Amino acid sequence: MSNRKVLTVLTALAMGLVFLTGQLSAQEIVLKWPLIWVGGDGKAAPVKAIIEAFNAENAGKIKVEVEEQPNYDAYEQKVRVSLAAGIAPGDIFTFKLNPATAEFYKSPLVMDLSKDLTGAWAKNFPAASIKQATIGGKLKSIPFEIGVTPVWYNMDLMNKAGIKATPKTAAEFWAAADKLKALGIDPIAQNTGSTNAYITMLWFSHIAASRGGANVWAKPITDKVFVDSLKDLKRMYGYSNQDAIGAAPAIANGHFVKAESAIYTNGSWRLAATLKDGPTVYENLAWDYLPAFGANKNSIPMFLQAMIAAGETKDPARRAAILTFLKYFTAPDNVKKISLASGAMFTVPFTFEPANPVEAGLQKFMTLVQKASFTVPNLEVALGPAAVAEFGQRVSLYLTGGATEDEVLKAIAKKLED
Amino acid sequence: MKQTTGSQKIPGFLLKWTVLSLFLILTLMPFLWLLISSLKTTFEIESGGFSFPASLQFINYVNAVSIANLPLLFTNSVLVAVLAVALNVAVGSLAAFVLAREQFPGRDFLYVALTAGILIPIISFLVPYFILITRIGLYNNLISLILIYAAVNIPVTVFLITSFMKAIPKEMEEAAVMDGCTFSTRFWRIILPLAQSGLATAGTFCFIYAWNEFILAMLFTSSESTRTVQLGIRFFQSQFQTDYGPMFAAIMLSILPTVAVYVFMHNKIISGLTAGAVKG
Repeated sequence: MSNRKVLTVLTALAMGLVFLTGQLSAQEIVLKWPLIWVGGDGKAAPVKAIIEAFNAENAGKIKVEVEEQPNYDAYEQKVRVSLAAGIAPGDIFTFKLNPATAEFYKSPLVMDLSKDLTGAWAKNFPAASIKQATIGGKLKSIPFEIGVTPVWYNMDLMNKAGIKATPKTAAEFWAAADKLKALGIDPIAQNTGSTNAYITMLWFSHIAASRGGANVWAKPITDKVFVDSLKDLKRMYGYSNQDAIGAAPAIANGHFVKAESAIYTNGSWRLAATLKDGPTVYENLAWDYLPAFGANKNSIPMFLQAMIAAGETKDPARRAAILTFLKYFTAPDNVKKISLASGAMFTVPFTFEPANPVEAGLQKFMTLVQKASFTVPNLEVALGPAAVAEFGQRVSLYLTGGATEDEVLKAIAKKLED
Repeated sequence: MKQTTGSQKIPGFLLKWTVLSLFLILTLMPFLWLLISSLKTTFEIESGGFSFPASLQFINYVNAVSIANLPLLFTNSVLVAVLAVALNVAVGSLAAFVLAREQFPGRDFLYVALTAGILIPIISFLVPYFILITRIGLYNNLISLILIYAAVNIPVTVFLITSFMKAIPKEMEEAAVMDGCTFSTRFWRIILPLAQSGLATAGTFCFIYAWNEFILAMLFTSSESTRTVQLGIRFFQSQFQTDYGPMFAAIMLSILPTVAVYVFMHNKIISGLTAGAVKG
């Protein structure tokens, strides 16, 4: 064979190889997921394991690549900037559903899943949560993680104050607070710092729900319900940790875990941390509804904490790959793994086997949700980040006597109008 | 003129030192708090802000280095900050030279247009920068941060260096022209060496900005290989929990380079700022 023929055969082989490699790599669809469940997040390890398992099962066909985003506020900013720039933030991404992020539903860059989340897949989700995630007939995000924030009681401290059961009425609640205070214990844990004054905002949401009912957030923010709720909050402040003003949520968490405060409110994501940092406290925990401060009993703040969304694509194969992954990720077995490792709660139901304390705690949270007369979102979810930022700015001044209820609520109302 | 007696001086002396001491405490307290907190457990930090640790948690520093992969993050941050400073000072000094030493129509307008950027919040540039960076294919590339940090600091750099260059006596440059110096030689041989303090001041500001910046780094990078120190620190935080001990240790380590830069450069920074302030 002449040199020219050898060269021709080799060139043809090389071109064939290049073509084949191109075809093979073209077959694998890479999905980008800017992910917040990374770093120190309790969900980081199980989510990573699930993605790795998916990639192994779909090797050569679909690969999910994570872009780690550790800071939630900055992540949300990134999603917002990306959509404003006309670029989908990722093939898969998450956000909290509130009036501000509901605007994402208007973006053609976000995939409408209303025709996909049907049949067997839809049966994994409560109909109410799908309804809550459907805006203007479009389902542009899957309701995934939920937040439930009952009242936590340290029954060891309560018993020391002579209280044998969780308070069932407002009178019992204040009486318990008096007894705890007399013992030198800070009865209630609060914090007014950070942008959303998180624990104090949750207390306000509890009281408002009790006073205003299931549709409390439909009322104008200057309504008497909110005026009275603020007054209750101020009364609570008289029983709270001295460093509540300006403190981060971690300070309130720390006081409760260290048995320095007896009554607290937060979500199930604090279960694993409380067990780790305060095992004795954890053994003596009880969770309940806030006693009726108003006309409504047994209400509990519950909200959609994380929605999973997908970037729109015109490529049917890519769309199918995204849906394949979403179905895999939201399968009850996988959700259970994330929940048990982190203490987080999800819309996707799964069977509890309370073999460990976190599972037992989660079970009690679920029981409270099931037996609640109604659930209601908290202030942040209901009115959006601008309103909660205004609440956070004003509430410290209000609690320390520097502003009136009217001033606080009118400031929030103005922010809502803006 | 009435002479001031020793007893009359005492109240003024006391007032001066009381005010200075208060400012010293206000300046040092956050740093001391951070140092003490970096040696506490997360649990101790959450339990009470101003207590001392039961035992010193040097392990926080070990965890900070290993968990956040600080060596890689430091390398990235140094690379970004140094190259951003070099680019910023190179471009800024050239602009400042023309604005300070040349006469041409529209000079004052150009100066105001360039320096007015100081007043514009960076958040207003996020969307156009994002479009620009993604379109030119520099997303998740450290070059994007170098370019943007250099560009964002141009107004400050032009403002500082122009003020400094204006203060250099014209006679020196005129003598150089008489000796046959060209435009570029005047810049390189005469003005630039005399404006060293101004360059150092502007460069330091740019370095501190590039080192501490978070939002743009978060926006334009997405992988560990392009992560900077400020992004790495956030990995001790999650949506609901924060591992404060190692995070404060990482913050302590992260502020050392900026403190070191300031310690070594503070004479030039102060002379650069005062020269600009008095004669600008």
